Amino acid sequence: MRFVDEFRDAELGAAVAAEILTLVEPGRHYKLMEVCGGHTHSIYKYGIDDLLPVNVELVHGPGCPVCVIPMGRVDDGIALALENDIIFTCFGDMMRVPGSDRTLLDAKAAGADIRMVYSPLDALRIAKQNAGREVVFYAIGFETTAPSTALTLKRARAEGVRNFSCMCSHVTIVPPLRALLESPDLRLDGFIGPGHVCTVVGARPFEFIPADYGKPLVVSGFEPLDILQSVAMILEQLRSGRCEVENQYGRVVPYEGNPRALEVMAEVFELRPHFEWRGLGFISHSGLRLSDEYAELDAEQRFHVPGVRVADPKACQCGEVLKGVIKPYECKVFGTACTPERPIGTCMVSSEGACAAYYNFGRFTREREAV
Amino acid sequence: MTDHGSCRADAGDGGGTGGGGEPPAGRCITCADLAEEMTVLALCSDPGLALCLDSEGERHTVETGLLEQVAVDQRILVHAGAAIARVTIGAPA
Repeated sequence: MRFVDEFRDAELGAAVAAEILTLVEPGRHYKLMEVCGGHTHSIYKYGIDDLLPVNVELVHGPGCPVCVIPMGRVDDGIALALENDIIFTCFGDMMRVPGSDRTLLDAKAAGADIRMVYSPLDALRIAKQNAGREVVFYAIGFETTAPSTALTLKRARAEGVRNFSCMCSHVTIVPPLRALLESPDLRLDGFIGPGHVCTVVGARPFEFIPADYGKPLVVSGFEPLDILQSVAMILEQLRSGRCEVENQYGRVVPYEGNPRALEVMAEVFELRPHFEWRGLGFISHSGLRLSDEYAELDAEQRFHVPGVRVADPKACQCGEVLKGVIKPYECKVFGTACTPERPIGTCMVSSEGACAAYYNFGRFTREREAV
Repeated sequence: MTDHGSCRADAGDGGGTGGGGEPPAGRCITCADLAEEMTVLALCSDPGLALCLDSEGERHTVETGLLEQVAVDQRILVHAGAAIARVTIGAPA
């Protein structure tokens, strides 16, 4: 495929891997966090970690929006779907996320009208085709996804679709990164920045990472060469003593982001005071809800939502995986009680989840030679 | 109400943004930080919508309200049914 194959060129990949070898200091261990679940998926799909020297360790961050949804929030969605005669719509992977005693898929099997959609616009279309019924879109995702939800809500209002509303669980990426950087049990040397989030917010919001925490960040694309080049750029910064935000993904990411998307988000959403993240707890100003101007489209105001709080399952170590403290295969239930077919934790649900990526691509241990 | 079908992708149950088929293998359907490059095939009569082609040859109706001056043949990055960025075409050096 044109403009895709070029970024998967094995010869070029080997050349960048060779360059990376020249950039690492023997005896030094480098821990780089890829923030985004899409990067985690690419790394294991293409075996990128096998091209890296063993002293360059990739740590998987909290950037999978499915993985960070707490059980209570799933239970809230299930309650909304079961207790009201509504059509409940959500993205596919959300349907398999375990709540405290069932998933949305289980609730669908029990009779709730829960439908998978590919976009908020699909949910709006369902609302227009079912004018006599309420349709709720369960919105999840980072700043990459939130503008799509915002546009759809604007469209719903402009077109007078009164049976459509949104249960908003959108989250923002900067607050959890700051929380991770404040975590005493995590030592990182640099970050592979979330390329698609940056198409919306730009690279500037990440400048606090080098400025306040002395860690370089390189905004990265998702093809194998993108990720390898980003690793090389981080290592080059570390070797030369530089520490800044760089943009490897310039073909897509403007440094200032997408002003129109930010404007639409600012109109439709506002920050919640707190939002609960699976494994990370409550983080201030890390979640979005609908602004007062769009309150009539807020499912949490239109319907009773229980506001359930549920502790994470004891056996599950998703929190430590999300913080990069342990590798997925170090979790007690990885690949045994917890598999993609029967996930206990959310990191095993989405293909962008670190545990699912390890499991699906057969990474049960890490065995590589040191440089 | 405006009918989104005015620029409808041939998508089984009525022209969804996702094309109506099975999700691509090994990928989160929509929700993760994944986006897909597409080419604009046609602008729809419904403002803010365009018919686009993905790398698998599948057609999608895409919200384009987040980008200025979307034109036919442009390469755009689509996530959750909305174009979020323009792609500057180029191969790695």
